[in-house]
Amino acid sequence: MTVFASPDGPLLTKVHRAIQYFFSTGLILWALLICAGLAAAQTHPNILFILSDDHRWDAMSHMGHPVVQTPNLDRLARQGIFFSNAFVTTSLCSPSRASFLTGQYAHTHGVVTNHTPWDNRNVTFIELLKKAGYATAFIGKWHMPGDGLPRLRGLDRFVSFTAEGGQGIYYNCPLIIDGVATDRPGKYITEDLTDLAIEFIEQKRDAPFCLYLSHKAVHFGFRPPPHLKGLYKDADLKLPPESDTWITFTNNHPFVGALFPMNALYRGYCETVVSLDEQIGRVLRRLEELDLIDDTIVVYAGDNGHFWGEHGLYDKRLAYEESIRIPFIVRYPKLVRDPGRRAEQMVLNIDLAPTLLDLAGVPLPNYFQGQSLKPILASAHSPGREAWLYEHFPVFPIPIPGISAVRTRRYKYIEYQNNLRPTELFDLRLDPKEKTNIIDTPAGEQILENIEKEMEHLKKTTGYRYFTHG
Amino acid sequence: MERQSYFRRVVVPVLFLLGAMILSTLVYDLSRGVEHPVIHQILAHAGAIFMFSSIWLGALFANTMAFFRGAGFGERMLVCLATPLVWCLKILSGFIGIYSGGEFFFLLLHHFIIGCPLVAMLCMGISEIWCRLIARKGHGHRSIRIFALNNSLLLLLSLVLVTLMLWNGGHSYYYLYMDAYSRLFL
Repeated sequence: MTVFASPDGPLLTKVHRAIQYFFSTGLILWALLICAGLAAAQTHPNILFILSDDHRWDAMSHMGHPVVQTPNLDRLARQGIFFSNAFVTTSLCSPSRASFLTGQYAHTHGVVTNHTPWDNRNVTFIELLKKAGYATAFIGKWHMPGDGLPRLRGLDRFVSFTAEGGQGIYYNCPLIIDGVATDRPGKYITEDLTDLAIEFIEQKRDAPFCLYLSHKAVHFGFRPPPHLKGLYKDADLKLPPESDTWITFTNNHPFVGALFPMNALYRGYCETVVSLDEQIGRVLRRLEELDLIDDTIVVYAGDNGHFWGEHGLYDKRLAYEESIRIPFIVRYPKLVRDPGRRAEQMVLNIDLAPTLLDLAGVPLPNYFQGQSLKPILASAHSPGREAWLYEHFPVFPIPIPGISAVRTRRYKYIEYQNNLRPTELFDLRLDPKEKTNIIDTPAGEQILENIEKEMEHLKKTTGYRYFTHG
Repeated sequence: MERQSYFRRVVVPVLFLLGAMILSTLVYDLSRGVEHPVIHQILAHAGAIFMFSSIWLGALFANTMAFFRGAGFGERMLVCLATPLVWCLKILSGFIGIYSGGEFFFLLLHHFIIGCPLVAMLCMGISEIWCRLIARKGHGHRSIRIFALNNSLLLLLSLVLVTLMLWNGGHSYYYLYMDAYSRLFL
């Protein structure tokens, strides 16, 4: 007592109390911070991934396209990040779709062409999100070979179609809804799939959702809904000067199977893009009405590009820019602080799976070959990749040889199977339309050795192997 | 009808059609290098139209030419098939080195490969009708039958096969073909 009664006693007590107060307050704050952090980490955003078919990266009005009007995709780009250098590692429907789902190159997931079947042992990002507590749905085009539809794990709802070899048809396309074949008379497929997607979004649930909405549009057939038919019948298409309407009938293009004059197909394509945009708008509006839009990561992408007369070509597959570039937009206001940015970093279809898992706070498995785009979404200054590998395997009966290519920020190097076509090297900065092969020029020779080494390096690190069949 | 020399009744019609195909293909290919938009389009349209006509419909003309130069039925078939077969060989050459030998042979059943000579046969069958009509009525060859057995069989068979291939916009045959491909090669 004497001690406490000493003149220093009250002071000591005050100091003691202050220390106690400091620590207890600190403890509480620390605990709150931990809780907040955990809460943040545990707040799984909803995920809506919309995949289209053959939609070119520049066939949108915000890209200055001379014909199509896409107000909803424009809005998505305005409110999110538009990746202006987004590519596919294989420019073909099935391999690209499998790459989106698995985060892997075609030579890894095994769907190397439109004929090689999906391996049910492949793990999709949807399956991993399901394990993390998500309600999941796959609605739309599957289009990978196999015995009917695959046994996809981790799906609460699986709606797809097998008509026309899995390509589907624009009107009256029968759907397989959770295993039950269902006729859809009078339905236009893009609208039908959107209806089902909205139905899934509207379901009451405690868990976040992951919706994979995969459209047939705007694949060949190019049939718009009735109200858009003829929308661009008189439009000046402004196709490239080297193109003509007969391209679809010449240069082995008949094997692609689009035996109509190209310009007529292109008008249908543009009208079908508008229809796709309308339906995307419907989904976005419904998310808004349900007050879910800002809690939802919305990603829009195409599965590959498309030639419309450039290089005298139609279709895709080759390693030129028109074929390998895709539209890729991410809207997620909780992370993106500078909406409307055009990210220049090179991103790939194999980046989707790691990105979505990363944003959902799910640990990334080591077999992913893509990279999370979360840092780029958060900061414009985040570095992107320097180079990446493009691969294409022969798809019977298309007379295009296997292709390996390296795309760096500035150059592109393309090798063909058995040297069936001359090896190509393009300086994309000086020659963005890839008109001049510089491989035998002094400038080309300077780069060649390094870029060949880069290809070897990329092949080695990705475990590349060549597939002769498909 | 006067039976002209082999060169005139067979080689000339073949060369005529082949020449038209080669020339029009060259014009079409060259059009891509022409920067003037109007000239580019004119050359592209002209080249393409003549190219397709010579390959797919040329038998209508070549058969008529050979018929009135006295070529026999077998010779006329040769005349009609020459250009489509050359075109098929050109197309097939684009596949060399890409696919296996088995796949290469399977390509022969692809509707563009097998379809081309079949359409030529159909065209020959059609042109035989008017050739025979003209020969009977115009030239007074009353012994010539408009629907002779060989021509009727040719017409019927080619018509059935072409129709089957084009059924459902060609999709049915294509998916059948690709299904067979998958079973055989994958």
